[in-house]
Amino acid sequence: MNIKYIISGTLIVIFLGIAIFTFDNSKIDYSNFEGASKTNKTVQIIGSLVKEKECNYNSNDNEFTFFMTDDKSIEYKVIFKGSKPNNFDIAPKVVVKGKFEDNIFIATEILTKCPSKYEGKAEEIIS
Amino acid sequence: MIGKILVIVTTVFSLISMLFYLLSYLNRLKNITQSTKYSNFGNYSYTGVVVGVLSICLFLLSNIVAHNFQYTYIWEYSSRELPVNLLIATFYAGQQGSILLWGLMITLIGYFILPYLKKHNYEAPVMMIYTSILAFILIMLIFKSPFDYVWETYGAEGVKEGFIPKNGRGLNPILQNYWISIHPPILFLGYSLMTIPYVFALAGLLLKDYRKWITLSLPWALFGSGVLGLGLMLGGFWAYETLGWGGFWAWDPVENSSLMPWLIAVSLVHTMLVNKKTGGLIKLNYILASLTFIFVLYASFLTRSGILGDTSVHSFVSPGPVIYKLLLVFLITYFVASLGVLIYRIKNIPFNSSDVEITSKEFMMTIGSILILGIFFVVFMGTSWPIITEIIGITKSSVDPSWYNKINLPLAVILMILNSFSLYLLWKRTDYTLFLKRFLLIAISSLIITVVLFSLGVNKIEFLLLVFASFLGLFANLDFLFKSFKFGIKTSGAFLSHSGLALFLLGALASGGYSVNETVRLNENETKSVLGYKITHKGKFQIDKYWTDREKFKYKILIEKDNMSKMVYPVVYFSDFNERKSPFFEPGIATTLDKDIYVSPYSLENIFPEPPIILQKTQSQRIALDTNFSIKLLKFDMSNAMSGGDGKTIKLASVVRLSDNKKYVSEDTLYNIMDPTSGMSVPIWKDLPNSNLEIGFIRLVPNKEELSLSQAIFVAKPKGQQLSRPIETFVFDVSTKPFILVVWIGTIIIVLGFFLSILKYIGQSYKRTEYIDNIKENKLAKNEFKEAVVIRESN
Repeated sequence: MNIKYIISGTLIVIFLGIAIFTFDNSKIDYSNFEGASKTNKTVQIIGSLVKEKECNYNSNDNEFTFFMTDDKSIEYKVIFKGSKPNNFDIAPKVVVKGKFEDNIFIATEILTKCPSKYEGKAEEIIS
Repeated sequence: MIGKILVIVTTVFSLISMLFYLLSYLNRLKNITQSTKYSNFGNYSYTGVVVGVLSICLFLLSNIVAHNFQYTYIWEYSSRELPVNLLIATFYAGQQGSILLWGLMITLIGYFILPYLKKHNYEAPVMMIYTSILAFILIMLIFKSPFDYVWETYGAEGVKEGFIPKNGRGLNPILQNYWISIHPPILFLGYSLMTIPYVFALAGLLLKDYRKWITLSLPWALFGSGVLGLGLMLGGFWAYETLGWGGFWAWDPVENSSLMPWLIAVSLVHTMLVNKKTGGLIKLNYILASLTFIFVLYASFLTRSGILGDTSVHSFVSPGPVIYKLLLVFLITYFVASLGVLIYRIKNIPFNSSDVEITSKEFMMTIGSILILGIFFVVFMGTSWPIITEIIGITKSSVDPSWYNKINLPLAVILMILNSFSLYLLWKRTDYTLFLKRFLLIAISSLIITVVLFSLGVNKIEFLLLVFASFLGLFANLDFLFKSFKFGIKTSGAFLSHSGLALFLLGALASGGYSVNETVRLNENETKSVLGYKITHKGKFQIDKYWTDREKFKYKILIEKDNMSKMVYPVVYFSDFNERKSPFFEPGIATTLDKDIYVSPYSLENIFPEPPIILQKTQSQRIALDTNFSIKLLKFDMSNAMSGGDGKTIKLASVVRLSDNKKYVSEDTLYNIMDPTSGMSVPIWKDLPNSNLEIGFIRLVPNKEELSLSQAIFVAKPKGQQLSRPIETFVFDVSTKPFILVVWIGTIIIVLGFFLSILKYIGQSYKRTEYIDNIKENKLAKNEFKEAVVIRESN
């Protein structure tokens, strides 16, 4: 009976160790541009698109360039190696995952939040 | 009013029922007659609950079908245009309705289970807890009611009392397909069934009946796992086939929420079987039975509270602070209750100091259950991590979805090896000769296949391990599956499910690990070479034309390679649901035996060969086709508006200044004839001097709020040429999914196995001696007899 507990216990401890170790390497911190500039790790930044500035796709280089502000209202240029995501213009918030390279934020992933258009609004009723 | 009153009355009934059952339980030893009387009253009150809940549902459904849009919930989720099947599905399209559906299922299951409870003297302790759960759900319905009127919800924004909207907002377009009639009800049935092991566990301990509750609730745990498993599988298939997310599982918080209780339930089923054979693991069974239900509540909390809104692509609608708190209270109450009962009875629980060896089936199955819990723990940690970081105050972060696969793969490998191992072991002891021969044969076959795949290019060590383990599991379970046919199909359930699991793992490895993809940009009639295929854009055509709330197009994409030629039809559509601001997508899939070719729309881009010039008053811009020229909008001129001649059209005019580098300047009026009924806007073209271009006033874009900010659209084009339509570039993702068919087959077989196992318990004739008699009568050979014993014992 005792050895069964020892075996089960050891298994659990080993597993937890591996899990925590790999977990630590896989988690991605939420940050802002200031935080991103201080680290070499990939971070994720929640922010908004700056509509007044350039926002276009270069098909020769497969690069999508735009400007966004983070939660501290700091603005930076972001380059994404891919086409412009659907929903991008109307999404209220945008999440980018990536890191800085020479003062430009290179995004490996862009997530656009579905706008809360799925909630009803009073104006829609009246019209 | 009626609806809300019904909810309150039903809640009262459930509380009364709970009280009576509580009294019955408290008197069960002291005064048996009185206890029975209380139970009967509880029973009658429960009938009231059933009638009440059915009435609430009928009331909601009849109002939905009658299009009574004065109810906010009905206005928010349905509309007149919906066909009957989708209209009925709007019942549970939103929070309130899905809570009601959950309540309905729990109510009906409770009604169905009453005779079973009475037969085994479990009625009072089970029902007192069961009705309390129902009461909680009904109380949530009081606070978040599907029967609020639009003027109650939007009164502050000016909606007057008694106002009845002519039409509803309609159902979200991505939900408008047959899946919504299937996936949510099955999922909620699965959730509801998970209530039963919980109430049995607590009731069992309260009654100091430490084993019977396990035997009684095992069929229900199986049933719940099967149904919830089916629901999960359908969700994955829906995501893949219609929603176009490119895969069947993204480790998204909403998906993970429903996976968690399922994993615990599966682990529970195995520990219950161990207890049935050996009497051990009572505490572990209690804990798992409790956690199954508690994690249904946790899943409800995660998905309904909106707390993970930032980390998921699923659109979360925050339900408000009251529901948030109610869900939390719900969760904490039943967690504490379960803990409380355990502590109350812990000294009393018999401890099974068994003589079980490490090499026995019992021990292996227990380790297996713990490994499944390991997978559960992985999913729990990853999903809850953002919340945990906020609670303990460290930097908020979320885990990359790749982590789940990274850590679950080794667990799956160990599980499959353990499973095939344990099949050849016997309860409490082991017969090594039988074990060695058969198992060695299977292990060598799996090894051969692994080596073959290695030679074909599978060279990652973790993939090879998974291949080996999966084939080991597959062959072992198939071996026992075929043997078990001798004893009737009802004994085959577990072997079927495990075989299905092995297939699923192989399919997931192939379609996930060896999928390649590329983003493609194509104009109509253009061809490109992608991933070894010749891909051609063959145009698009409109579908669903009779629906006025949408513009839906099927794109024809031809995929060719060698002898193969397949046309897929990804869909792009614009819906009034989001004011046509951005398109919705559906994928086009070409299925062959060895892979799927998956075409997923990414976006549409419009390029104008003659770019439009959009100007407000006093703005100016260079003309792209001849940058010598620039045009400036001075003002609009509506003085000749009505002189279009035929009385039907309006003559719009914009006064512009045209200038070029050579200091040529002229002020001109550009006219546009507009037909207000058809919306057609035809420009009258004017030549640009000293150039081959002509310029026209294409359209007026009025600004309703501030007229002076209205815009005019101009286009300059070569003289004599037709105005070109914009060139549309279709941007989409092409990927291959090798052997994904094996994933679907695997999951279907897993679910089939569950339901086959349940068949065994219907009828409830535990005739274990039946098999031995058969064997003796048929005078089987010695080896076959041993095998027969093994199969009998594994059931």
